[in-house]
Order: sequence, then structure tokens, then C-alpha cells
Amino acid sequence: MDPYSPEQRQAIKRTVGSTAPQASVLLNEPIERIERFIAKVGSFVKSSHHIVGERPYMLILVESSPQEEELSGNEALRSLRRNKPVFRVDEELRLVSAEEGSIRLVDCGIRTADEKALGVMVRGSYKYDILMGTITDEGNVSYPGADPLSSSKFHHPMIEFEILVHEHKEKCLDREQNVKYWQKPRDRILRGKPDSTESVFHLSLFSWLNMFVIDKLRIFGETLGLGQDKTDIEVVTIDGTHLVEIKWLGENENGTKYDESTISRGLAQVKIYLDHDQDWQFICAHLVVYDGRPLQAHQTKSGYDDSQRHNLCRPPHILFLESETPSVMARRIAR
Amino acid sequence: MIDSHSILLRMRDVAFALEAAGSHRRRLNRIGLQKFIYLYDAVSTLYETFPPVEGHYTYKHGPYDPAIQNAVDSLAFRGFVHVHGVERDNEGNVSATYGLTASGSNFTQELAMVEPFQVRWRIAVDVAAKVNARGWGRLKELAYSEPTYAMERIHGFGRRLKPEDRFSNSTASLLEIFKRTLRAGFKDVRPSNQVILELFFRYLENYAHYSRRPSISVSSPSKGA
Repeated sequence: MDPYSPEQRQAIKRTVGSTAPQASVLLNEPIERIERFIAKVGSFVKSSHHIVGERPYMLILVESSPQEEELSGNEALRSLRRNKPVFRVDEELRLVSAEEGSIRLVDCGIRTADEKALGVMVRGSYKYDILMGTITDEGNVSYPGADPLSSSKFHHPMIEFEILVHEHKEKCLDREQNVKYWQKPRDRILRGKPDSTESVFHLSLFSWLNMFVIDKLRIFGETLGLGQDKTDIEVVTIDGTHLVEIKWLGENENGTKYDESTISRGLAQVKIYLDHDQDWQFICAHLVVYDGRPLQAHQTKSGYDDSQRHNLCRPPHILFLESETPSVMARRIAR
Repeated sequence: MIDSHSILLRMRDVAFALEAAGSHRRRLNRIGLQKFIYLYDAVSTLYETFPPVEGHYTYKHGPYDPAIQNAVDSLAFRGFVHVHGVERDNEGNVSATYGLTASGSNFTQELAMVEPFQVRWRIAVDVAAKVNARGWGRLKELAYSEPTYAMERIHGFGRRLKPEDRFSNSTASLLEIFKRTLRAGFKDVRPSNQVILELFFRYLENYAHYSRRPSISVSSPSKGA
């Protein structure tokens, strides 16, 4: 039986379900200052979207500068035209400096990690909150999307992760509906630019979970070293934290190849995370493997070493990526 | 039957509560005092201390510990507490507000310096600051939103309240959720008590909002608990 009432769940989510409390702890700043910054960024994105357009930029919270003027949409546009998309501002969005710099998500992550800072990367009306290298929130400011508390056939608790990950594939990945991940679909070559192949699947699944995990308190996405030594996604619920590790199989446009052994390596990586979890934060782990290899390899070479699987880790979800429409596939099979 | 040890401990807590409220130029009435000490006990696990074993029960006007009323009466009898605005209503309920006398305040400040009591004093100061930031008129609303009381009150009067119990729907388990959530996604994060306490009071406000409880002032004289 769930010990928490719906009102309690709402109140808990409202209390700790945003970037501000954690940023307050990590940056040693008053929570009100962080909240003010995030609120001002939201207002700015909304009001300046029609001026700035789809050009990406980043806002980084720095020390107060009362003598400076608040960043306007026109000022932002002028800076962007001068190739200066990194704005350092205070919580009132008073502009301290505009600088050159890459606005790739991974570079924004590195910048906030190096500077131990909170930044918001914006493209159009979409934003990512990035706290010291980790995505702590994302969403469309103008159209916030489905409220996780409202009913929807796609909303599920994290315990139903298998359904969540399959619905994500069906509604976002299949036929590249929302994400372009093939570079050459005919040859089954995956994209590897401008960001890594991992990040293509990572960001898409992150957004899906952020929107549709009904019992989520917080969600974190790693921007640095995806697939390396950090967890890819962590979903915090009242009961504990779920870890999601993402891998891909096949070949990408950079010539990088991953075969069946990657599945076992992924399980071993998850095991290390769980073994090092001294605070017992994680209550469950999932390895999601997006398979870009040919169908035959997917069907015959998707084994793994189960001894590498931690007892809190579910069996891996190995999802075949389709590169042709059902009608093309049917014609090919018929031949 | 309330033993004298419980009353002595509550004399300390009442003195701390009235001194902490007094630092914000506030007196507490009978109900307000009960609620303040209930919140003060509820968050005590955050400071790695525990409330008295015999503590609060559900009652007519919120969480109630009879030892608190006995303690404040004992302090008043000894001249440490001044009783203001004593009134009796048509139903025979007595209302009053309490504040420390000068000697009571001196006694409390000396008590606060004694090492075993320093943590309890710290809790009283912190809770008073959080209540003051939100308005003393919201004390009842805040106490009613505390998870243990919110869940138990629907079962009637006389139910023992254990907000310190980590294995139930309580303040202690809620504080654990907050700590865990703040630690997630990053290594070696150790949120301070101040941050967790702020989140706890924000939770109480949010819960009150979602459960749509009316805010009722307790800063003016009203019926006894």
C-alpha cells in the first residue's frame, strides 16, 4: 500500500522537484536566488523568442552586478550576431558579459562543471538547466507539455520502466519520428555528429522520462562522458533512485563500432555503480541498448554474461532500431 | 499519569519555545505553544536528537501533549512565565497567551548554554525563524500539515504521534526523502540542516495548499487545546 497521499506526493514534488534546492546546496547560494534566476530565464526565453529565433545560447549565473543592465532580447540578438552566445548574468539577468564559445550541449556541460556553476542552455523556447555538468531539468518554456500529474496513456510509474522505454521507442525513435539518428539508413550507419551517438538516444529518452514518469521527483542527465564513468540518467522517486544506463550497438558515421560484448560491458558498468553506491540510493537499474546492427545480428548475437548483472539490475532492454518502413521491409522479405 | 521527569523536560522545551518566539516579539497561546513544540519535536531527528518518549497525541485542536500545559503552568507558578489575557468563554475553556518574564528569560538563556541542551535550543531558534518568515498566524496550518499528524488525525483523538519514526509516513521519513533527493545525481553532497529545514517548511506550505486547509490565526487568545 502506498503510504503517501496524492496531496503529499504533490507537495513533495513541488518542494524538491526543481533545480533550485540542489543548486542551492551545491553552489552554496540562497535557494531564493536560484529560483529567481530560473524564473527570470523562463520569462526572458518567452519574451525574446520572437527576437532571437532558434539561435542557441547559454545563460550562466554569476555574482551580482547591480550596476549592469538587464539583458534584453535585442541585446542578446546583437551578441549572437557577433558570435557571442554565452551570457553571464546575475539572478535578475543583469548582463555581466557576453562571450564566444561553443553551445553544444556537451560543451555547456563542461563549462558548468569546470566553473562549478548553474547554466541554462536555450534553443528557441526549449531550455536545459545544467548544474555542474548535469542536466537537472529541461522543457519547452512556452509550451510546457503534459503535466505529469494529469492522466495520459503514456504516464507510468518508474517501476513500469519496460513499458516506458518501449513506448518511447515506438513514439519517438521508430521511423525517426522525433529523433534523427540514422546517417545512412540503408547501410545502417548511425549519426555521430555534432554530438555523440549516445547523446542522441540519451536526450530523447531523458525528455520522455522527464515528461511521463508519474512518480518522478527529480531526473538527472549526464552531459559529460556519456557511456564512460558516469551514470547516464538517474530518476529519483519517493522510494529511491533508478539508474538508467544507455548503450548502442552497430556502427556510426565516425567509424566507431560496438558489438555484442558491449551489452556485458554495460552490465558490468552498472554493477560498478551499484557496488559503489554506499548510501544505498539506487533501488533499481536498467541497461537500455539501442541496436543499430542488422536484424540478423540483433536476433542471433544479443547475448550477455548474466554473471555481470547486479541483482538490482533488470535484464537489459535490447531494442532494434528499424531503418526501413514496414512496407519496404515487406517488399524486401517478399523478394 | 504524567511523570515529573516528562514535565521537567517540557519545562525546558516551553522555556525555549517562548524565548525563541519572544525573540520575534511573539507570545504563544495554549494551542500555539502545543503546535510550536510539536514542529520542534518533529524536526529533532534532523539534529540527531529525539523528542520525549511520551509525547504528542491527536486531540481536538491538533497535536497535544498534556505535559506541555503542566510545564507552562509550573513555570508560571515559579514566576518564569507571564500569563497574558486570561479569559474564559461560555463553554468554560480558558484562553491565555504566554511570554517569559525577565527572570524566565535569564533562566532560559543560561539553560541554552548548558551543553546537553544546546541542540534543543538550536532547534527552537531555527523553527521560530521558519515560522516567523511565514507568519505566526500560519502555525496551526503548518502543524496540521506535518505528515504524521495529517495522516493520524482522521482516525480520531488520543492517537499517539511519532513524527520521529523513520519507518512510517512521518517527518523523519520525509526528511530522508529530501536528503536522498538532494544527494542524487552528484557525488558527496551533504545538505545542511538549514537547507533541509527550509525544504520541510516549504513542504508544509505546499501540503497546506494542496489539501486546501484554511489558515486560522493562533496568535490571538483562543480556546484551550
